[in-house]
Amino acid sequence: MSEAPRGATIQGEEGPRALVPLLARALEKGTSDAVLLPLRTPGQDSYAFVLVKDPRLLRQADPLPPVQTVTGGRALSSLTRHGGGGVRILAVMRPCEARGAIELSKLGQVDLKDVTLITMDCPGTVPLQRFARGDLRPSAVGFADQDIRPICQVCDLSCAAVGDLHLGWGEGLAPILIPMDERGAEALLAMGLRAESDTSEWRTTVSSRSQERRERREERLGQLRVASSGLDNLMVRLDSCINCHNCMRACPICYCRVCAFDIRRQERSANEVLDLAKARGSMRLPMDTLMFHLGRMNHMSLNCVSCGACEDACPAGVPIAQLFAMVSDRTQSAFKYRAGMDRQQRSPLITFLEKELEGEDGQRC
Amino acid sequence: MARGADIGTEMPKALREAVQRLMETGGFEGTFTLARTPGGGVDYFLSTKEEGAPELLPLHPVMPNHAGRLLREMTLGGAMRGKVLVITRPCELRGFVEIVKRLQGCLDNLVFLSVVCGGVFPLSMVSAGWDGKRTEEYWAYPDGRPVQGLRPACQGCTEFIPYTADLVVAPSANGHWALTAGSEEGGRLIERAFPSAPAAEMDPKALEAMAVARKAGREEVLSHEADVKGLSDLVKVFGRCIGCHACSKACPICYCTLCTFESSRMEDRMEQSKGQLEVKGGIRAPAGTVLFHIGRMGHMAVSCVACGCCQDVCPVGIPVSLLFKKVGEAVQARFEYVPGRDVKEALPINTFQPMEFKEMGE
Repeated sequence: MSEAPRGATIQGEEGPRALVPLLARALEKGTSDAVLLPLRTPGQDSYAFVLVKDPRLLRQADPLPPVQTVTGGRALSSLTRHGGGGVRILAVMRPCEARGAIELSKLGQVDLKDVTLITMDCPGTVPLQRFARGDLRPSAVGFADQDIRPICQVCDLSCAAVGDLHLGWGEGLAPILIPMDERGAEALLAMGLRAESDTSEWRTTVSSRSQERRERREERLGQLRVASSGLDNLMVRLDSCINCHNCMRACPICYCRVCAFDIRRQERSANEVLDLAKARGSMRLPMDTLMFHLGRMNHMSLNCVSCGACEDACPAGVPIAQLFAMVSDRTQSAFKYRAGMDRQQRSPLITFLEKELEGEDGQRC
Repeated sequence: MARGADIGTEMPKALREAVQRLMETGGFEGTFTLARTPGGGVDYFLSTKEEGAPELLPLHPVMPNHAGRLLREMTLGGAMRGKVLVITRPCELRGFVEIVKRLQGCLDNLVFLSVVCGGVFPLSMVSAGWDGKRTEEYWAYPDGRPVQGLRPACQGCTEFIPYTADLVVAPSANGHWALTAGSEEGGRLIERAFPSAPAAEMDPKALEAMAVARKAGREEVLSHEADVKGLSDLVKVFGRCIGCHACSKACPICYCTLCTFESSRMEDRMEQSKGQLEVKGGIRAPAGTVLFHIGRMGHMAVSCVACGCCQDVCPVGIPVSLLFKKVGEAVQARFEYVPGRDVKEALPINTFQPMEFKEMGE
């Protein structure tokens, strides 16, 4: 953006919960038909995305829960995959979730036509399984929290203002709502706010947060790259995988109704397996675990937003989000692409450029 | 009780040695068993040669995958060409039998070795690192004392004796273990592998002690987390479900390549959602969480073998195996049906009796 955007400082509650009355106002005013955001579940023990029309339901709302259950992109896709139907939705989610939604819209799985995305600075989330077990169940996460997921610890886009409207907050920063485009400005107006405040303090905060994370990302994923280089080391990283494909089903990008690798596992005959086992002495079952991960990586690493849903859903403790982040950082940079950051930039897999893999410094891949 | 061979007291070593002898003398093309993975974990393998084989861990007390599921994937396209020794737990065998009844697998040429089962530990215990001592302590279970830390489904499992295995590893008198025959084939295999071992049989007293403990365990596990009554309780317990459907993917009975609940017709259309939004004020996205679980229950509860794999893979710890066990037991009792007991026994859902459920009306 050529000109620094201005924002609206919000009074009242500190942090993302300050959004709730504003969303209610927008609903009551009728400029939006519904709000999509996380609500506490009926058992009060988790969170789920709910498309809300009745403002009274917002009492259960928590715009930035301490844990990621279903990603916002998936939630939005479930609603708008077959078209948004003209329903004007304010969709509130983390930057990585919004980036997932943006990637899905490029893949034709989300209809953003009438959706206003509202994102906010994200301090990260705690691991889903620890949250579910109850041994780590904070009511909120702060920016200094040490218990956040490994993938959040290396997230350099945790404050990426990819929404139409973005909330800056935390670490002494007065919550500030910043419209990033026309649609965001309209939403802000509907909330009864004006973008009159300077945003430089927020920008400085975000830039130092991101810089720190970028360095950590380089360092940790670099270590992982060394530790998992070569087929044997990679196999050790994936050793506990039970081939349940739950990473794929939690992934916002993997949208195929029937995955190619789910069909593949039924295609081998008993005799084929026996012959393979005889040739090698033994065969681990289920087969094709490595093939599945590499294949999935091939299919979606260019769109991977490092949201960590895969790792949260893994019953076998595989650091799968980190492995995918490690690979997708490279594949995306080879195409000068960062998933979900630019709505106009077409997805590399559907863009053909004759010399796309030849950079100034020679071959990129 | 058929003739069996005494294999000693030192479990799991005695079991490994017995399997080794069966492999040497049984004329098998391969052995399907749990074994050590290269990274030190445990998974199923089809092993054909002794040389270079992974360390075999037959009946190691975890269930990384349901063997019935793996066997289904393997034999969906037809029978195994040569004889294979398959070493699985009773619920895995029963699950496979159920799926064979649905014409999704084939029992031919598979010789089953199973066990009077002590249950298994949660999968999460494997990824957290395995203490070898735990395995040795585990095999003391025939004394009837509950083993700490087993999966809830196993703590309350009263179907711990296999129905259709050719060979059964069973507690024998005085802390010994016996390899007993469950079929003629099993008897021949024992004679060949253990021509001079002292004869031994299953100890009914140990079975009784286990049955008492399991009945108590069953009461215990079903009375807490699975104490769910009515729709509002269901909404609460499944409220934290993330809709990953891992439970159905780990289930030995759920074999559909494309689950109904993942099909296009179950997906929301905004035209319909709009109406619901008006009426309810809000709709969960994705919707249909409870519907999925109830629907899956409707599809497979009659064949549920309560193996517990669904709960093992649930990332949010929903007591799904206990809920399904509870409903499964109730449904199965109505049909006097024990899933996996006999491959010739017809499935209640494709057997029509004009008088069944008379109380439900004409």
